[in-house]
Amino acid sequence: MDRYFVACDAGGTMTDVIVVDEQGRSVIGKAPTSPADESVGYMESLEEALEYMGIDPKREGRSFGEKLETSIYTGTSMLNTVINMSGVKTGLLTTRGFEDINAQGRGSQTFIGAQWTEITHMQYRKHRIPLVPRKQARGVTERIDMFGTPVIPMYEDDVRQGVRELLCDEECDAIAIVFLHSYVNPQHELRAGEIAREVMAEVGRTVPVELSCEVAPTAREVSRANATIVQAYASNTAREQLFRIEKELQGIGYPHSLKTVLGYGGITNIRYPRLFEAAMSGPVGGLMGAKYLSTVIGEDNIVCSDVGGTSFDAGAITAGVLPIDREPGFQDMYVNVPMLGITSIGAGTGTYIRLDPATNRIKLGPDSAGGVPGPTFIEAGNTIPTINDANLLLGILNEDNYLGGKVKVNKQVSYDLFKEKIADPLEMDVYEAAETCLEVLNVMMREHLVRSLMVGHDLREYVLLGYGGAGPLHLLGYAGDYPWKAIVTVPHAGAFSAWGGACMDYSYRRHKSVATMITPDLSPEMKVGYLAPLNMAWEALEDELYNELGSEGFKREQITMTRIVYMKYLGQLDDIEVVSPVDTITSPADVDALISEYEDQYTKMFTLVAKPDPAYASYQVTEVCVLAKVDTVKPKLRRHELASKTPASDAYKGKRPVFQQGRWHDADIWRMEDLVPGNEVDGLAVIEASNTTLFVPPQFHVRIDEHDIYWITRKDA
Amino acid sequence: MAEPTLLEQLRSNEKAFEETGNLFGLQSLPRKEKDPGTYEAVWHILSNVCNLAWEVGCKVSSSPIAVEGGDALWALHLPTGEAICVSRGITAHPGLLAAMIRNFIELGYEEYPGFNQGDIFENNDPHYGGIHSPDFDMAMPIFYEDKLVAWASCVSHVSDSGSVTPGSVGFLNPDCFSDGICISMEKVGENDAFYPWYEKRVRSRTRTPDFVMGDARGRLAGCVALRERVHAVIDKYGLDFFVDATKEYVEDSRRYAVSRVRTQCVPGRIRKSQFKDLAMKGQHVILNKQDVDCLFNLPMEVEIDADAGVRFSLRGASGTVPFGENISPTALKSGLLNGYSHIIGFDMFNSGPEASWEVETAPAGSWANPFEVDYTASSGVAWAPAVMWMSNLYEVFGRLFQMRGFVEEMAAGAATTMTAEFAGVTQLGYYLAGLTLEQASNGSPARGFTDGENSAWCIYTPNADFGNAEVTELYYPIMYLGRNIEPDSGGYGRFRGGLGHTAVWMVYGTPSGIEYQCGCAGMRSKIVSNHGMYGAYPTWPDAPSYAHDTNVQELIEAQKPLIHERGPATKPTIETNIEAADLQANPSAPFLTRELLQNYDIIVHPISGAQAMGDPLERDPESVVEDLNKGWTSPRVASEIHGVQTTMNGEYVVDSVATKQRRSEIREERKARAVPFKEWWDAERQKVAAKENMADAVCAMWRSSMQLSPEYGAELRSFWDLPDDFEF
Repeated sequence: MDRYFVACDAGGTMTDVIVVDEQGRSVIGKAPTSPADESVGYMESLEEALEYMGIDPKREGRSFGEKLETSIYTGTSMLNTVINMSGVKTGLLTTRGFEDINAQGRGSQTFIGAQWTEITHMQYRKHRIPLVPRKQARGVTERIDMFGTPVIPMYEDDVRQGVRELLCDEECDAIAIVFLHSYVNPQHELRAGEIAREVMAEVGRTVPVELSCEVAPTAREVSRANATIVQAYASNTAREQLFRIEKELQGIGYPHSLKTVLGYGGITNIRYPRLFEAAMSGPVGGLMGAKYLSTVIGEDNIVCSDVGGTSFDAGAITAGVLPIDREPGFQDMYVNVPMLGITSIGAGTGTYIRLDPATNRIKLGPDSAGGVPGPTFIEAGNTIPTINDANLLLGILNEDNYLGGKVKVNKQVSYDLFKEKIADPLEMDVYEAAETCLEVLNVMMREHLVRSLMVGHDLREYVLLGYGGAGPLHLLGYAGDYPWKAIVTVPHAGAFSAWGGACMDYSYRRHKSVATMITPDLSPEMKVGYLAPLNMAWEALEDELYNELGSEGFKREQITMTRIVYMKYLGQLDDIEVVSPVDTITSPADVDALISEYEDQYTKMFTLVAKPDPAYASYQVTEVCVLAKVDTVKPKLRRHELASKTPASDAYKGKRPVFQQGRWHDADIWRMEDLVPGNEVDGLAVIEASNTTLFVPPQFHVRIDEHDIYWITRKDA
Repeated sequence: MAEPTLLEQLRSNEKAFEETGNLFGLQSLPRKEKDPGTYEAVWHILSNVCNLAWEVGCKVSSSPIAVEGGDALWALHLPTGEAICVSRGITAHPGLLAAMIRNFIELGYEEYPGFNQGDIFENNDPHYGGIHSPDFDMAMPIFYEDKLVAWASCVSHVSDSGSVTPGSVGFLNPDCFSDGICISMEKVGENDAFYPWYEKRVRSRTRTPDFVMGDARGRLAGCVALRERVHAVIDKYGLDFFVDATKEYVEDSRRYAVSRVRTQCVPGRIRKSQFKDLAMKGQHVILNKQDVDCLFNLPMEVEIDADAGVRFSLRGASGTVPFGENISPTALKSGLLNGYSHIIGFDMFNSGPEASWEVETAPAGSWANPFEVDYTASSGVAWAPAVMWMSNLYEVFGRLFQMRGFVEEMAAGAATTMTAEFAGVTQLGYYLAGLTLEQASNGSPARGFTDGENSAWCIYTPNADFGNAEVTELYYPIMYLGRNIEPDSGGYGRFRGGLGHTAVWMVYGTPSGIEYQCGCAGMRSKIVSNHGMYGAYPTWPDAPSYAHDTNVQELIEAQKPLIHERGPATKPTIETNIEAADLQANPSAPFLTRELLQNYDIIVHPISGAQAMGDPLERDPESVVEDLNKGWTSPRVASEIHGVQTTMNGEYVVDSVATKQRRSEIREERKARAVPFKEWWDAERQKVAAKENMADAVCAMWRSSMQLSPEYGAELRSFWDLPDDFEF
């Protein structure tokens, strides 16, 4: 029996569903996202995909559903709940004196993702609207110190009164409990949770209670509070959306539970208790797809780059290890939620192009035309030129093939606007000005990539992968002449993130803060003793993970555990992640091995000049982590017979003038759908598909391998 | 022809600027005009290079104040010192770093000891342009093919400067000899490594050498990273382009600043008066000469000519003080560039805007130009008066923007800044001295169209942030009992300033006690602070308090109420809830505790909100009620200051009719109090002439201002119609 995998990427505007069969054949359906009930957009998109696959959803839907191996949701439902402030009314019970913790935020939260010119311009400061206003917060007198010692016992009457007021006076529908240093000792939070349940029984009203020690047990109370509040505020609303989708799928015979994607990669059942960890799963699919792709092409180091209409997202997989950000920004809040380390800048095909009125300097973005990335030439009412206008004017985009030819464009409008607003004030020819603006964008993207990788990594060891609807369009522009090991893209670049969603393993991470320090004056045996808490913390986290995965039906022998520490030199604020080279710390040799591994990584990242004199060096381990993984069945990347290097004549669409390096050239135009593994194409060329365009400048050459992956090299390499 | 020396290049640049009005004589910007794309691309790359240095350096550094509080910065400079672009971080320093490099050239270091790749130069000495001893400024030359083509620089604020009092905010320093470790324009290393003596000096002259050396390594790692990336940029774009374009970036930025002034301000002369006190009489001081109250005159006069030329004057600045609150003209100028970047020149932040204005150096012997007259003056916390002077800039330009209708650019004055610093053996068993991050996040000033933001701005760094309490507790033996928003801390006006917050700490975990220094980094002791503009009312001065030898442990055991907030000014919570052998409910700040604080002692440390704008009677009643319901203002303030009357319906609701009535009554009361200006002037003149009700500090301030700036004195006498020989 054929088996299928379905994954979706529900964006703010469109929901993409990709259906992949076991042989790796895939089709993509698209439908508008339906925020009120996401199952509508999901099923419409699935039906379109099935039609492409030759399956009649009305007649054959049920038999298809029964053959579904996995169905995965990635998307923005929880994000939208926060954006739209449509979550449940949430109350906060917190350490007395910190009732403003959510309303006050932190100064640095007012400029998450902002450009430096925006950060320095004082007038731009703005806090987000708090999810928990002060009125819905109650204080509890209690304090636990950094070692976990209760210094001020919890005043239980405060808890009773606070919970009662939140339930009865404020009519809250969820309660978050966040006490300082609860990540070291959860005693007060656990007891407060018990009292809350007692009070709920007394008043006859039960609401979800989220404890920060269970949701995000790591240091930094502002971020831990934000994470716990998001969980209380948004996860149940989002879960209801996911249950609706699951119900629809089960209605067509899908026999399993719906899965969703955690922000740090990996899938989980939608009943997973800490669902907020899936809040930022949108960009994860791309990295996970890249991770899977890396195993197929045999490359451990991949730079992932995703170009959309609005933003350029990048992340690097090093030695097969996914980058993790433990305190990412989320909707102008920092959250203690491990997330794949993906950094973004406002640069995409819809990015606005302007000239500064004071200096006549070219200004790209950071704002963009968003979901309508060609607003001038599709005459959507906007009159500010965008990057896509430049692409169209230069002949890179085909005016007859915009969105597969579905949308008519008016190139003259682009020309007139570009001339008036950009070229004439710069005293440049329109086409030269357009090429100049594209190059500035490429540099912005290139710099972003290089800077995200720069610390301690050699670009010559990395393969650059471009995806996203506009990834192939700009890939070779931002690849530039940096010495990448290779440059690759895929024909399904536009739906790569959704495809990546189908390629994930079950993977959970658990973090726990610890406070250990070893100083140079300690004997080797004392150092072992000082690091002993790591062993206990690892074991405790592994027990939790075995239990969680066990409840999902996995056996112990299916689960692989990786032990990780976060280390720094005494005094530093930032630590670095180190995969422990030893399973436990039981001997001086184990300590030395751990320190050696840390120092190797540290000096790689920050150079030798940053290393202290060993005679004075003290080390702190601030956090431990365990990564648990269970392999799952995934779609195969289909292997094809290689055809000849010369593409079939049907694939050739002719020539089109393209403006490059200051003059017009005739570019070869190819139809991507008709290119097959084994074919090779020389630049200058444009390879067009209905949902993406690969632009190949003159100095590049494209080879399609047996997995239908496009390898691009410099002709002079 | 031999390459001109850097000193010759400096002189040539000066001449070209004088002759053309354009930096480097650049009457056009050929690289930009010919190739705007590459020009923009390289700017973007160089900015990223600086930020890369920041990321590397901060991760290596050891000061939370540098990393989480943003008190560090890396920059790229022209060979002659002008900053080309800077990283994020403490924007008060690029001017200083530029001046330091220039100073190395002026002092002949090119000849001896010479400039070579891998050399490390540092300065923290205010006599040579440094700001104060904890701010270590570093510069490393960048060579390309044996030619010095640029400099990498960095500043970071270390946890302890080795001054007479522990920590880094030496407001109590009586003279420069007590300012601590001194690096006076020195070459401190070569081949990307510090000389062995450097670490030895840090270890013998600071109390926290591991932390200070960690910061040194951070500065170095960032500068090396910056240099290597600059090499890559030159490899790609060519040396000629780099040399030309980097100069154009500086001149372009000057033009941007001029253009902003031309299009958004009006020509003319505007003056802003501002005062700061430092009430130390009867307090714990180091030397007898410090048993005195001081008052600073911080006048700012701005003159804008028809060509948008801007001239700043500090004429009238009062004399030096026997505390660490004197600043060199170089450092003050850098502070001015910082303030300018917040409101005028934020687009391409570098040395360019400095060339768009002139500063009339403060009179010799004043707090803003001490060393010519008083070479021993201390600059332990030179920022203290300087940031308050910088705050004038917001208000002055706020008025100018308003005159041209750019309401959205208007800002009231900044918040005052009070630091908290601890020193002693921590709960981890080692000695530590240093700042908390509290002061790095004040409220932001009221804007011309809305309130300021709470806990979101810091005048000395746009990276304003107070970090996490749990992180602070990892460093110091204190436990937070509170960190909430402080009601009514943003003044009263149509738009209020962003609110500040109050940290309440309980000392805990120290085996031997800790020192607490409530430091002055720009605050007032007794006089009105944060006065507001356009008819706004001020809030009360920063009011810290502490209790030593307390009953807190007993309160905890009995589960009695503790203290989590400052409480009403007239009845602070520390008085109502805490008993102590030594309870200072309203001590005059700044101060250093006389005795070591012990476990269960209490500190209440407020962080100021910013200034308000406009008449409080014009505040939207709904905004007043919104603040009431959030607990951000009190019913008394709502009723008496804003005239807003309310009813209760589970929460406060505006009573529109009663509000209208009450506001009308308040206006009538104002009219009843009002007198014609001439009448007021006559009465005040009599008081001035008789020096009536003037404290010694007031007279001393006016006396020194008039003596140091005779022109200012003459103007003052003329205004009050006083005899020519009148003196205070």
